Parts: sequence; structure tokens; C-alpha cells
Amino acid sequence: MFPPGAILTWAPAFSTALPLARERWRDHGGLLVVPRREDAARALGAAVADGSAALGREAVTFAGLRGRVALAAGVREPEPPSAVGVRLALRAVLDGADLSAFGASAEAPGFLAAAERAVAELRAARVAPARVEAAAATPVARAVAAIHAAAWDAVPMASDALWAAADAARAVARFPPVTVTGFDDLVPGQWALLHTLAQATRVEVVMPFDPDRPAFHARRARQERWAAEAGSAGREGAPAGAGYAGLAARLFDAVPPAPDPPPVRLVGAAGTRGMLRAALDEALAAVDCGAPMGRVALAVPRLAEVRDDLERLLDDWGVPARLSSRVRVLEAPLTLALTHLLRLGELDPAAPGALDHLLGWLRTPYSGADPAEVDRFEADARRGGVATRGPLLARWEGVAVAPARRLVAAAERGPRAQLAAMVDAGWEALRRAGDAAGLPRRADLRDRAALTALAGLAAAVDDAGGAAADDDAPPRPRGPVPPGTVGDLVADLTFLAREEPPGGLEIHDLASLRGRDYDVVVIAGLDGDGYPPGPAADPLLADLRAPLADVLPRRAPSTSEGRLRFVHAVDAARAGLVLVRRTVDDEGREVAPSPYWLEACRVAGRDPGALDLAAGARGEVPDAPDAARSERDALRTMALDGLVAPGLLAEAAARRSRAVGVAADAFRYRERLRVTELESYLRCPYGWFRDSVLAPAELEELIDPRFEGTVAHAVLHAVYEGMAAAAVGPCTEATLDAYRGALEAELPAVSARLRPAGAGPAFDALQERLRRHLRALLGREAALGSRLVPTHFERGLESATLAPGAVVTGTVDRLDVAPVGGAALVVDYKRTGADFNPAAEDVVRRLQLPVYGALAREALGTEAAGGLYMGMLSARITGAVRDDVPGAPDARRVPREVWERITAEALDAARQAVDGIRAGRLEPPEPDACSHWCRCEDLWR
Amino acid sequence: MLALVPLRGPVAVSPPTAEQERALAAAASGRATAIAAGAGAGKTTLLVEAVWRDLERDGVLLDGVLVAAYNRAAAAHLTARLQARFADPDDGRGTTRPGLDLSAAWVGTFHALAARIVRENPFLAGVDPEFGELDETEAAALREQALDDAMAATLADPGFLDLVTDATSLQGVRDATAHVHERLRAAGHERPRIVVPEAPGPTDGQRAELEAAVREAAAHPDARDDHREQLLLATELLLTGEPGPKPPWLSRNCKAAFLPLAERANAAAAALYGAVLDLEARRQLLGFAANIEAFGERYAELKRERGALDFEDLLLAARRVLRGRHPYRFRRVYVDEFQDANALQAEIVDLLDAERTVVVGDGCQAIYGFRHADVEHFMRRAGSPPEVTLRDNHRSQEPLLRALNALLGAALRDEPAFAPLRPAAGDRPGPVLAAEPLEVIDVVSEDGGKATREQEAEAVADLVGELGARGYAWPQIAVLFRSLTEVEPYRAALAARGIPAHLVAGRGFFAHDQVADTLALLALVENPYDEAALVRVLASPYVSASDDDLVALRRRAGDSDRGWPSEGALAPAARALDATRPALEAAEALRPLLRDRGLPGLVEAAAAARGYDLAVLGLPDGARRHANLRKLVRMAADFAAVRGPDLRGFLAMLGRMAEAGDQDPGEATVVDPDLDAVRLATVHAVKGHEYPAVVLADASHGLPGTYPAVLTDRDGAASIRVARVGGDPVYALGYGDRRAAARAADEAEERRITYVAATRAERHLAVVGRSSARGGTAFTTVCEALVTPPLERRVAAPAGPRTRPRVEPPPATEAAAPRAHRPPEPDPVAGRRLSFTALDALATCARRFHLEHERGLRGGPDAVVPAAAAAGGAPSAWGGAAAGDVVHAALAAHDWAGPAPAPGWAAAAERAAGLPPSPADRERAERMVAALLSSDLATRIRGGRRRLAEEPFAIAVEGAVLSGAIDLIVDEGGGRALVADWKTHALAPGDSAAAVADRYRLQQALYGLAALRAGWEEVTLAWAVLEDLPGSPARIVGAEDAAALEAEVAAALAPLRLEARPPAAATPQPFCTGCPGLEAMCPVALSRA
Ligand code: SF4
Repeated sequence: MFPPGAILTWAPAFSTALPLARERWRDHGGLLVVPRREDAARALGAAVADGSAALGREAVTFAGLRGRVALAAGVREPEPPSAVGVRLALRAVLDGADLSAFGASAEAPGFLAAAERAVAELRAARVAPARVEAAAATPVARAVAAIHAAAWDAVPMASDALWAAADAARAVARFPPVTVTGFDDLVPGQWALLHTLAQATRVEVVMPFDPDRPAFHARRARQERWAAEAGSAGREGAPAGAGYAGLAARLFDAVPPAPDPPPVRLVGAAGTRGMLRAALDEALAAVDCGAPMGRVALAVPRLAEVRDDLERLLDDWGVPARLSSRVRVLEAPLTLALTHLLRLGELDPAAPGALDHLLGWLRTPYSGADPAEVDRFEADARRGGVATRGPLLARWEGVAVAPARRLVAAAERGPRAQLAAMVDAGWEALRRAGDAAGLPRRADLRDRAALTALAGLAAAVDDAGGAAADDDAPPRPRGPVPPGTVGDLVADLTFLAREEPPGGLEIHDLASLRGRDYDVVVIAGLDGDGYPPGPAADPLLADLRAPLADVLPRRAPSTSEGRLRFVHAVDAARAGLVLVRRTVDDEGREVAPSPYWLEACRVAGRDPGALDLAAGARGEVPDAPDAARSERDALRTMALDGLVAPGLLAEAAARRSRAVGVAADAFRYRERLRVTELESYLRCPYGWFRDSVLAPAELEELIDPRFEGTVAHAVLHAVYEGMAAAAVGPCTEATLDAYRGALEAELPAVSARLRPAGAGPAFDALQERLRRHLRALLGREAALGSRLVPTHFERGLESATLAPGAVVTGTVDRLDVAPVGGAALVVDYKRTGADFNPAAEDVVRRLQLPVYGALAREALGTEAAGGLYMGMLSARITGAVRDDVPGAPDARRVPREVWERITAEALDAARQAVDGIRAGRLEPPEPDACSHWCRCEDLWR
Repeated sequence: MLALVPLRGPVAVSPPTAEQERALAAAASGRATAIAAGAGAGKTTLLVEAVWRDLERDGVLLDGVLVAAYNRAAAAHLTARLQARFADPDDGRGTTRPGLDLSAAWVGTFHALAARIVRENPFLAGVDPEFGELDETEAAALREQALDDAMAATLADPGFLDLVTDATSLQGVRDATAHVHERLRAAGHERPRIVVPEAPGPTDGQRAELEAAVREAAAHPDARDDHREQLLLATELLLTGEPGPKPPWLSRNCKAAFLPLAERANAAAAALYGAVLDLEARRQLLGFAANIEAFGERYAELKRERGALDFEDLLLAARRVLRGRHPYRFRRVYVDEFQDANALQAEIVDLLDAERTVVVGDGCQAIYGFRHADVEHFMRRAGSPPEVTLRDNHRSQEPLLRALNALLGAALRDEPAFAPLRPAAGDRPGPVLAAEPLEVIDVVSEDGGKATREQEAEAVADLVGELGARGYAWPQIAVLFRSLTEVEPYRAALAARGIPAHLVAGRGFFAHDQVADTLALLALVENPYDEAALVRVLASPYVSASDDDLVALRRRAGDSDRGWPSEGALAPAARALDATRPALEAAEALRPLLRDRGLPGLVEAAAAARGYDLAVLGLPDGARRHANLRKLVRMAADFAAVRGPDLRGFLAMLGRMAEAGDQDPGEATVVDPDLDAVRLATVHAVKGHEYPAVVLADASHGLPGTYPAVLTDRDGAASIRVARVGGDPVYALGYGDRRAAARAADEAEERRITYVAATRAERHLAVVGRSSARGGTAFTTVCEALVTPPLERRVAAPAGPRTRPRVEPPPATEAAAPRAHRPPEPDPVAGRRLSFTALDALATCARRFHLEHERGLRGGPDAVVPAAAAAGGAPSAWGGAAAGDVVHAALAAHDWAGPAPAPGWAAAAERAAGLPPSPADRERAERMVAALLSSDLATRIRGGRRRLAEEPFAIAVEGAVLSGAIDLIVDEGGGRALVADWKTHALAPGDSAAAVADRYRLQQALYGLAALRAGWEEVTLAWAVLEDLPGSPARIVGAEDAAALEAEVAAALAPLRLEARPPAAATPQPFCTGCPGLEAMCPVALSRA
């Protein structure tokens, strides 16, 4: 017979509690209740390891216990509410509540999640609304009390199921004995269920708790209350002596170090990822030494923060590992894609920014769009850009634009309808993207889990008895969130992502490590100022915890929760303990050990500075190939050590440098050479090779300097041609107004022609910019007072004789002809102008003006009058005009001989360039010769 | 070597010196104390001792003390030392508390402390209660997006339009916006707004004067053409009222008679020009103000959506908390390095309003002005001269310190905070002190011209070599720089002498080939038509195409007749050529990873594509190059955390950061504290550290020449440098004064940086610069200040020819292919737990088993195959398995020794289970139970010795735990048992009980095995098909069958050893109902779609 009321047994540590509970289970049979399914499997496995059958014994989680209670009571088990259902209901409650006590915070997207946590905690403790109301003494507490009261009937909560089971347990007459272990704390509903069941069967809770140890202070109030309620309560099990349990028993107590401490390995590593590598390496070293992989645990500070890195590392090293953590629904690839679709639906598809959301959707496999077509579309949209985007967009009406609109339209029927529309679109997309032939990949699983969570079937992906959310890590910033109410609803929605290959390495944080034991425990991240993290501050309930201390445990950084977890973690080790910390952070800044490191070293009698291993001196490259955990790492080590081996490494080594220089006749096929490229060749042959020969087209932003130059050119062309047609004559003081008038007329006309669809105000800015700058340029030209008449525009010129071996070509922007004698002045428009100092040495590298002059002479028979560069956006006019040419402006005159010398030298240089190109000569770049936009470094390496 | 290193050795805490005791006494006697502590004065010892006394002697509770440190490392070191102070039982300095947990103490950086305050009081702060903190890259990702959005929106503002249209670089306007916003927030502005000064505009008098002057000058016979050109501009100014590129200016190189007229015209033009320019500047500044506002709002909005706070937000929010009725009553507040506090931090310290506040700092070490710190906050508190000082220097050897005092005293003569340091280091072991422990070296060129940086680098490398020869180990030597932008020549010179050097944190992240290459490959992943990226990838070690290959590519793509090749042809051509195809193939292979592994996973894979990482590691300084790739991955992770896997956005952000110049994230570091190498570092990076020998290189480094286009003071009063089309920018609205003030502040900071650098040295200091390169620098000040020691000039040989160098890969040695050290694959069966249901699922469809049991998925409401409902017998209103549940529950509860349940029992069961009322189902359930209870089987059951209903069991097979619950076990005595299982199947025509039971052979094997293992020797397996009990077969197994049964069960486990889990069907089957694969992840899903 059993005593009425549950038996509460306090053991000094888990290492004592776990075997004690298993003994009880063996002796009394019935149910062993453990925190997780894996614990249940392990307990059962241990029970039958000898080849026997365990009859009449089961190991379950609280979810399983609930189910069995419902069965025994002949009632149906309540469905746990879905996360989305809870949020929708709570949102409605909040919408009707007075939230002024929370100030601006009530408007923040995270408020819903915070309110949910608070209400959930009150509900889990089943604190009656009246009691909360009576306890509330501050505006925030009163507001929380009101929300709690309003939510009492209106908002279903996951803990309801536990309380329903506790209620149902009253009707249970017969039930197998129950032993509970693996917990260091219970939520009130769990205790209530056990307490009630104890009227029908033997119930014993075996838990680590020592009222005398400071490490357990966080638990004291609750344990004492239970002890008072329990049928019997008492301490059992001798305090740990030797081993890691003995070490754990000393932590944070004012006692001397352990007399004969077990070995503790101290490992330092550089950077966060280096730390993970070192820790994983230590864990695998334990496996190398014979520990079964499933008996080795690696604990990291915050799973959610290192999860991505760790997963990639585990993949790379081919290490099977069990880990589970909560992932935001909005982190799934599919929900991110749907977010793009929603945002697209909110924008006019031709608006700026819409292209990014459109591509954000199209580029995913969910859209069903052909990737090659999307590539081409993007290239067209971004590159040409001119007046084409509207029709281009029409191509995606069915694939993106219409579905996006449908999603947005669904919002009119409320957030529930919009969520449903998202889910429908999601399933459709998932089927489209599904690679059904293969096993689901991580992304597939996350997509599906996210959709299931969104669809309100959270119970289907989440095991209520499984891992509790790690609520200790402070929240991290969110990624993109869908617009509107739906965004608020799903912003902090999470699902449980687990990886559970059997026998894999066990990855934990300190919260999930509780209640387990391993041969080897590796605790990583013992550095900096806050590890392990204490419970996160909980501002909504902060003022209520003191008056409700008997039901709400204390949660504050100064409670001993963090310390307790560390004690449990050390206690969990049976044969080996490794502590790993960063010595420097990712930026190479020193990091000091955490207080827990120091304390562990103190009780273990270790010098905290004396590392057994300092890893990461070579970044993430192992010290030796045979220390590598993956073939790639081994190759990296060899590469760094200057070794090559056949295969990838040899191929990579061969590609470390490239063959430069071309065959002598490489460029001979280029029979026509532009003057501009000759100039470029003279400045930097490799810059020329890249820009003029390879001439790669960039995917530029819609409006960029080059586009601006194109528009400016077109405007000037239209203005001068119009003025010439109207025989207005050159731009002088007298004709300036006419020119400016023409500018005012032509600019909008040309802009309208070239305006990219959806260019938005940026194009207006560009147009205005051009107006001001070109006005100024005209003013400058007028002030310069050249009386040569603009006559030829965008004139193509070429000469086969100028440089033997090639046809030299060019397009001169403008030729102004002298009123008397017909000498022609070359005018070249430059975006911001160009230097042309006739006296400077490097003028020889400025080929355009003199060579165009020579080409014009050959083509048109005009005598060369000189040349001017006109800065379209700087109003800077440079150049030189022969002083003997009638109508030449005063300000830029040079003697005829000077111009002739410049021309001769330029022609010489042009010929040299042609020769060089024809001979395939590519000289190395000179650092100071290149212009700052020269991209020769793309090739010269 | 390093002062703050309890990392590599025991944490020791020395007792306070007499001077420190005096400071402690002063601190203990006042409410607010500022301690001016010179370099090497032992501030940490002081702080540790002060806190220890508070806790141990004054009974202050742990959470009554707050200590703000200047960075995370310093905070953690401080905690470590405090812990050591409390843990050391042998130091004879009072009580100890081993195990005192300082993790809950308020010791941290300003930001960490502010974050804690805000987290505890989100409502007082008005922030998202679930806020997350943005790190630098995350903040940059949102900032860049906000800048894009704000600029696009503000362009509608005419003033801003002018600003943007006149400026030659949009980037400059972006940078200025971000800079001013940040500065004002650091100064405490919640919503930064700039104050735009009024501009009265030109007066009639100014106009009239210019008109008159122009008329007069134009009429003068000595006016030349160039004068007339300027007069024309003046007329234009009068007519349009628009300021041209620059004020008209008549040359004064003219005939004497004309000179007064020119001067009058110039003065009048300048006055009018200034007035119209001010008007224009104001318009632009108003536009800029609108942009700051739009940016601030957009940035705030992006953060709000994400529940994110950046560094400044944390401080501002903490201030909001502290300005209200807050819960904090600190008894002690200590702030270290207070000279680097900004206005906001200083205000927070005041608002904490502790019983006792002690700030410690050194006005000479204020070197964070560029981060908006303001030394005045410390100087005001410390007083002039400071009342409480620590001047004992425990770091530098006496001869060096004497020289330092002389040198720094002169160099910092205008610095009010400077006071000579007193030698207190005692004799420390080390290399022999030089006769002149302080050297100042001016490098001059042999040819008498300006010495180049390369020449200086040679001199520095020689010097380091000399120090090495004098007994300094490499890690004992630090070469310090003002900034690391130009560190390459120094590294090269050291390398040329075989001196190992370790760069602590370099600059120019984006300029590194490996960063640019990987970004190019990623751009190709985003879109293969990005031909610029294609070219870069082709020439990089990803492909290493030769120049000839590239020419071939161009030819393949076609060169048009006009000479301009057609756009977009390179990518298709590259696909056609063997030499270039790999680039596109690599990009294509990477594409799916964006979804599968996220942005950081993609970047990581891109860095390793085609062995690129291996090629990079094989180049000189390979580890460092590789570290840069790793850094890129981290940046991708940060970016994706707030902006999702937006590859284009990521590339665009990095592009802008590269362009902006001041957003260089810095080169990644590979750190090994034991590395036997000379340290190269910035002065900022070694704050708080010390080295036996210090070389301050590049001492003639100039100040940055450019300032943002808009400068503001702390209150937001702004001035602007107006860009002029075709002319130089013009200062307006007081820009000149503000710029001069900023420059003076920078110069003062420059001198303090010299101070910090010089005081890092324990035994030897060398300052190296080039006076010929630039005057007016800190170096010139030092040179001028020099009395003793004498200035040494080192003459350098002229620099060699200048061609851009190529990276030469070192020769490689052949070796055998490596074998990775792989962990053994765990057995996929052992350690598993499978219920019979799971085992059955595995046998039915391995894919479904995988989805449900290994991945934890469940089918949704759509996971129904309609045909399944119709299969077998009449449709049930209870649906699915409910009838079976009701029957099983009734039989489990049945007392076999008692009477049969009373007719009508099913109605109660129906109600309790919440099933829809169904007379037919009730009747059937009652009929089946009645049939069983009146059967022969029931008689046999009643004859048993003991009956166990719904008995759970577990056994191990091949290491897997198989469990279930047996409907009924009857112990029949004599080692015999009857194992019964109730089957409630509706028998379709043609189906038989034997056939049904046969479908459960696996179940029989498992249960039978369990019963045998439980100790029975003979087990009757009765699978009772309740609709046909007479036809239901029984099977008897004994101990001799155990092996066969086990083999049967083991065979069912075999699919677990298969790599893939094949689906059992290609089109929907009845057994697919409820399967998650139906919606996706099974070919069935596709056939359904
Ligand atoms: S849908 Fe059918 S065939 Fe496909 S996995 Fe599920 S049960 Fe197997």
C-alpha cells in the first residue's frame, strides 16, 4: 500500500536521483515519467538491456501520462490549442483591453508574444483572476490582471490540457504506480496532476534538491510548498563524494576544492565558430576513445544562436547529432518567400522596390518560374531598364502578381482568412517545389513545419511533452516580417525543429542537459560575461512575482537558476568533462573566461589560465592533416602547409595563379579600334583588355552614372541639333536664352522617352539635376564666347590610314565649324569633364580631341581647329583652340604650333597603341597610371 | 606581454599601493569622485579593491554595485579579477567568499548595462518587450535599407533635390546622413533633427552695389576679355540670383587704373554671392534635414518591425527609464575610462544617482572622438588640475619614462590633462635597456625628395630587426599604427627580412582578392548575366582562365562591327567553352543552397567551390586570407538574421559599404596569443595593453582631409559645404568654423593617440615618421619638441620601379592524399525505440515511417485518400478507429471473473468518448464484445490463473527497444501463457479471419517474443477477429521458436539500414491516408497535384 499523497524525494543531485528513480520503477512497475521521449527510450532500453522483457513497465513523458489518465478516466483527451489559435484569441482580448500601462511597448510587434508568455504562466499556475487582481499593486500588474481575467475563458492555452488531466484524474480509481524523474522543477499543472493521481496510486517524484546549497535557492519556495502538500517528503541518497558529481557538489559553495578531483580538460579556441569546432572535436575525440556517440553530450550557450553554424559544421564533418531547438516560423524559406509575395502585393508592381520583392519570390523554387527566364528578366529589367519594365512585369502576372494580390485581398476577410490564404499558397508552392523523389531536406522540413504551425496544426509538429522552449536566451532581432496584422501574429511564432538520428551526438543547451547523464560532457562557451544565461527578465509579471511567490517562481538575473544549471551540467558527466571557451572573439578581441569557468577551475584545483589545448591558431584550419575531421579540413591543412596531393588540392593549387599575356595575334581580329579604347590601352593595357575587349555588361542599378550620362548626351544632342536646324548659331551671350529655352523643351521630351518604368522620384531628381547642370553648362559656353557654329552631331569617323594595320574609328559628339575658313572644333561631352592642359606632359594620353580632329580632316576635309571637353555635370570646359581660327574663344586659345605638336604626339601615341594591340602586348599596370575606376585588378593577379 | 591577460596564467590581484590607497580614501569620502589616472597607474587594481571593500567591509549587496567598463574584454577581466580577489584565501587581506557568483553583478560595458536596464523595464523605456540587440553588421543591413528608402522618398523635397543634384556623389550625401544621425543620437537626441540656421538672403543694397560695380568696370577701357568674362558671370548672378560655381573674380593682375574697380567688383560680388549661397545652402540643409528625419523614421520602422534595438537605442532607452521613476538604487557606481564617454553615457551616469559615484579616466587617453566621445565630461568632473590623481607608472622602466615625460610634455603642452608620470615600475627583467630607450627617427630619401612609405617601411623593418638582435623576442615588439589602411609595405618589408609579423586587425576588407572573388561568384549565383562578375570569377582561382581563354570567350560571344560588343552575350558564350564553363556550372550548383542552407551556408559553400578555399590557403599568408572568407560568412549570417536570405540585398549592402570607405568592417584576424611574431596593430587596438618594445610607425600620418558635407554640433545646429557645379565646394552657414573646430579636435586627439601609443612601452620606444612627406602632423610636433634624445635621420635608398605586384604562389610539395578522421557511423537500429505501431508503419511504407517517426511530421487535414473511407464494410459514424477504441476500452476494463457488461454499455462509452451518436456503431460494438465473452476463447481466458489487460511491454532486438501494449495476457500456469489481441475489423466479402490474422504475423512474432522473454515457455497467440471468432486461428510458440521470432522482428527493422526510405507507392493508396507525404515529400503528392 502507498501513503496518500505523492512522495517527494529530494536527492542531492541528478546523479543520485536518476538511479534512485529507476530502482523505484523497477520495484513498483508502472509508469516512469521523464521529460522527453528520448529519456523514455533510454530508460526502457536500460531496463531490457539484459535480454529480458519489461512487462507492466512503461516510460512516458507528461504528454503520455495525460493520455493514460484520460483513458483510465474514460474521457477524451483535450486537443492542445494551436499556437496560431492562441494568438488570434489573445489578439482579440488585447484589442479590447486597456493597454495604456504599457506605453508605446503595447504597439510593438513583440508585445503579443510577451503577453502570451505572461498569461500562459499565470494560467499554467491556475492562479484565479481574482487572486491576481488582488495581488496587483502597480498599473502594469493591474493591466496584466485584467488581461488574464479576460483571457481566462476566451484564450485556450497549452497548459489547459494538463489541468484537464488533473481534473480527470479525480475520477480515476485504478492506475499503475507512477515514478517521476529527470526534472529539477515541475510546472504547477504537473504537480497538480501527480498530486491528484496519488489518491489512486503510488506516485513518487524523485528530484535533485538540497535546501542547504545556495545553488538551489531558486527552487526553495516551490519545493517547500510541495513538501507541505506531499504525502511524505524527505532527503535520500548520500552526498556525492568523488567524480564529477563530487565536483558539482562543491560548485558555488564556500568549501575548499575537491581533494581528489577528476580530470577536467580545459580548451581555449579563437572565435565563436572556432570554439564550436574545438568543442565538437573534443566530443569526437571522446568517441574515438570508445565512448558511444550517443553517450557524449555537447552543451552550447544558446542553441538558437549557434544552430546554423553548428548544423553546417555537423554536415561538413558528417557527424550525426541530435539537436532540437525552436525556430521562428518566419525563418523557413517558404514563409520568407511568402513574405516577399505579400509585400509585392502591397506595392504597385511598377513601383520602386517592387522589383526586389518580385525577384525575391521568383528566385525561390516555390514560384514555379523557370530560373533561366528569371535571370534573363532580371538582366533586362536592371540593365536596359529603359521604358521596358512595365511590359516585362506583365510576364509574371500569373506566377507572382495575381497570387500576390490574392494574398493581400484575403486580408479584407480578417487575419484568419489571410493566414489561410497564405497556407493554401504555401502548400501549393511546396508541392511545386517538392523534390518528392528524395528524402526531405532540412529546408523541406522547416517549410512544412512552418506551414503546419501557420495552419494552426501546431500540435502536429510539436510534442507538448517534448522540449520546452529555451526561454532563457534573450530574444534576437527578427528577420523580415509580413506586413499588417498577420505580421504581428506570426512575428514570434516558432516551431520545434529537431534532428534525431539514433545514436548521434547529443547537442544541448544547459537547460536541456538537465536530468541526463553522459559518459562525456563538453561544455562550450564558458567565456564573457553571461554564461550560462540566467532566466530572461519578465517585465509583465515582475511586480506580481513577490505577492504570488508560492505559485510563480522567481525569474531574475540574480536568482541562482544559471548556477543550478551549471551544477547539473557538471554533475551529468560520468567519465569525462571538457570545458571550452573562446580566448578571443570573432574580431580577434580578447575574451575573458566566464565566472563559471573560474569557479569550475577552483573546485577542480585547476589553474584557470593553464589550457590543455589552445585551438584555432590557424583560424579554422586544423594543425595537422591527421587531426582533421573531414577530408576538406585535411586538404585545407595541407594547402596551408604548402602540400599538394592529387585531386582537388592539386587542381586548386594549379589555379592559384593564372597565365597572363596573350598570343601575339590574339587581338588581330579586331580590325577596327576606337580612339577611346586606344586611350584606355595607353593608360592601362589590362584595364583596356577588361573594359574594351571583354566589355562585360554589368547588372547595374536602374539609375547610375552611366545612365545619367546617356540621358545628358541625348538631351544635348537634341538641343544642339534643334538649334542648328533653326540656324540659331553658336551658344553665346546673345543666344543663351534660346539655348536654355531649347533645353527646357528638350529635357522633358528626351526624359519621357528614356524614363524607365517605375523609376520613381529618383528619375525626377535626375532630370532636375540635368536641368540645372546643363543650364550651367550652356551659361559657361556662352560666357566662353566661341563663335564656331555647331554643325555635325554624333558623327561617326574613321580612318584606315591613320595607323597602319587597323581602322581607327570614333564618334565625335559635335563638330563646331569656324565661320571663316571652315576649321572644325572637336567637342566631346564628358560626364564630369576631363583635364586637358596643353602644357602638361600627359596630354599625350588624351587622344580624343586631336585624333578626332585628324579623323575629321580625313573624312570631312575640315582643318582641325582644336578640341573642347564639356563636363555635362560640372559645367567645366577644358581643351585648346588654335588662336588663328576665326571665332575661337579667348579663354582656351593656344598657338597653332602647339596644337599641331599635340596632334602629332597624339597620333604617334595612337599608332603605338595600335601597334601594341596588334602585337598582343599586355604590359603590367602601373599603380599610379590607372584611373580610380580602372578594374584591371580583376585580371591582373 | 599584455596587461589584461588572466587568460594564459593565474589571475593575480596585487594589493593597492600607497597612492592607490589615497585615491581609495578620497573616493570613499565623497559622493562623486573623478580619479585622473595616468597610463600604467593600475586602475584595475584600484577598481577591484574598491568593489571588494564595498562588498566585504561596507556590506553593500552584490546588486548594489555597478561597474561600467570600456569594452567587453575589460568587463570580463574585471569580473575575473574580482572573483579571484574573493576566492583567494591566502592573500591575508581579509575575508574571502569562494564561490561568490559575480555573473549576476552589474559589471559590464555601458551597452550591456543599458541592455539589462531596458530588458527589465521595457514599458518605462517604451520598447518592444521582446527586443533583440543588433550587432554592427545587422544594424548596417537595416541602415543601408533605410538609407535607400529614405533617399528615394526625400528626393521629392526640392531642397534635398538640389543637394543631391549639385553634389557629385550620392554616396557622400548618404554618408553624411548616417554620420549626422549617429552623432546626434550619441549626443542624446531621441529623434535626431538638425537645426538649420536662418539666412536673410541678399539685400537690395548688395544688389545695387554689384550692379554699380559691374557697370563701372565694364565701362572702363582697361577691362580685358577675361575681366569681361567674369563681369558676365556677375551679371548672371544678378539676373538669376543663383550662385554659380564660384563668385565672379576679376584678376588683380591688371592695369593700375583698373585695380580699384576690380576690387570693388570682387567685394560686391563676394558679398552678394555669399548671401545667395546662404539662401541656397539653407534650402539644401532643409532638404538634408528632411532626409535625416525620413531616414530616422524608416530606420526606426525597420527596427520596430524586427523588434530590434541598436547600440544607441539601448542607451537612449536606458536613459528614458532612468529619467522616470525607476527601481534602481545603486549604492556604488564605478566607471572606467570615463574620458571616452559620450554625452549620453555621461548623462546616464548622472541619472543613476548612486550614493557614491567614482569615475576613473585619463584626459590624455581620450581617443574615441571619432565615435562621438567627449573628453570634456571627464575633465569637468576631474577639475583642473585634477584633485584625485594616480601618477605612479607601474609599466615603463625609469629611463624610458623620464624620456617619455620630456617628449610628451612638450608634444602635449597644450593638453590640460597632461601631467608627468612618476616611475614606479621597479626593475623588471628583460633585455638590456638601451642608452637611449627613446628613439625618434625621421626617414629621409637619399635623393633628397620626399621619402616614400616604402622607404619608411624599410627603416621600420630594420629597426625591428635591431630590437630582435638586442634580445627582444618577436611577440615582445609591437609596431603600432594610427590606422592600418597602409600597412602592406610594412608587412612586406618585415617579410623580406624573415621577421614573422602578425597583424592584429587590418583594414581594407573589401579590397582583398578573396573577398571580391567570392562576392563575384555570389553575384553569378544571383544572376549569370552579371558579366562583370563572370570576368572576375574567370580570372580568379575559381577558374584561373588564361588571358587567351578570355580572348577566346570574347570571340565566341562575338565582337560587333561597331566595335562595341553586344551586351549579355558573354554569359551564353561562357557556357559553350570548356575553359569558361566551370564558372557558370559552379554558380548553378550553388543556387539551391540558398534555400537549403540559407545565406551564410551559401556563402560558405561559395568560398569552397572548386577548391577555392584551398587555392587561397596555398597563397602567402593563406590563413589570413581564409579568415577573410570566414568573416564574409559571418557577415552573411548577420545580414540574413535581419533581412532574410536576400542575396542581392547582401551584395548591394557590401557594395555600398565598400564604396562608403568608413564602413570597412576590417580584415579578419587569425589569433594565436602564442604566435612567435611581431604584433602589428592600431593604437586603438592595444589600449590597455603593454609591450616591452614599441615602434610607433607612420607617425607622420596626416589627418583625414575631408569632412562630411554637413557638420553639426551636439545640439544639432548644422552647417553645410555646398557642392557647386563646375567649381569647388563652398562653405556656407558657418561650415568653415565648424570644420576648423572639428579639425582642431582631431589634431588634439591625434596628439593623445601618440600619448597612448608611447605609454604602451615598457623598455623601449621608437617613433618613426617622414617629416618630408607631410608637415603639421603629430610627428612634426614630436620632432619639434625634441630636446633629448636627438632626432635621428635615417637615409633610405630610393624606391624601386613601380608595377602592381602579382601574388606569387609559393612552391608546393607533393604529398599523399589525406584521409579524414571520421567518427564511426552509429548503428541506425541500436538505441532506437519503436512501438509496434511504428514498426508496422516501417513495414508498410518506409518513407512514411521516416516522415512521421524520424522527422516528427503529421499529415494535415488534406491528407486523405477518399477511397480509403469506403474500404471494408459499412461506413461508420464514429469513424476510423473509434469502434476499435471503444471495444478495447470495454475489454480492458472487463472483469473476467464477473458478469458481462449490461446491454446498452456502449451508449455510456460513446458519450464519454465524445463520439457522435450512432445506434449502428453501438450495436456492432456490443455485439462484438458479447460474441467474445460467450466464446470458447473467453472460457479459456477465465480458466487462466492471472490476467493482465493492456499490459505494456518492452524488449530489445538488435539493440532497438520495441514496445507496445498487449490486449490481454493470461497466465495459464505451468509456464504457459495465452496472448490475445482483439481485432475489430469489419470483414469484407471474401475476407476471412485467418487472412486478417495473417496480416498480423509481425505483431504475433513481437508479442510472442515478449511473452517468451518474460519467462513463459509456451505461448498461445490468439488473434481474435471479433466478427468471426470461430474462424480466428491460434498459433503456439515455444522457447525453441524464439530465435525465429527474433529474426522475423529483426527483418522488419532492416529498412532502417537503408540509406533512402523508399515510398511504398507512386499514386495515392488507402494506406496513405493521414501521411504527411501526401501533401509533399512523396511522389504521391506530385501525382495528386
Ligand atoms: S503518401 Fe503513401 S506512399 Fe507516400 S510516403 Fe505516405 S504512405 Fe508512403
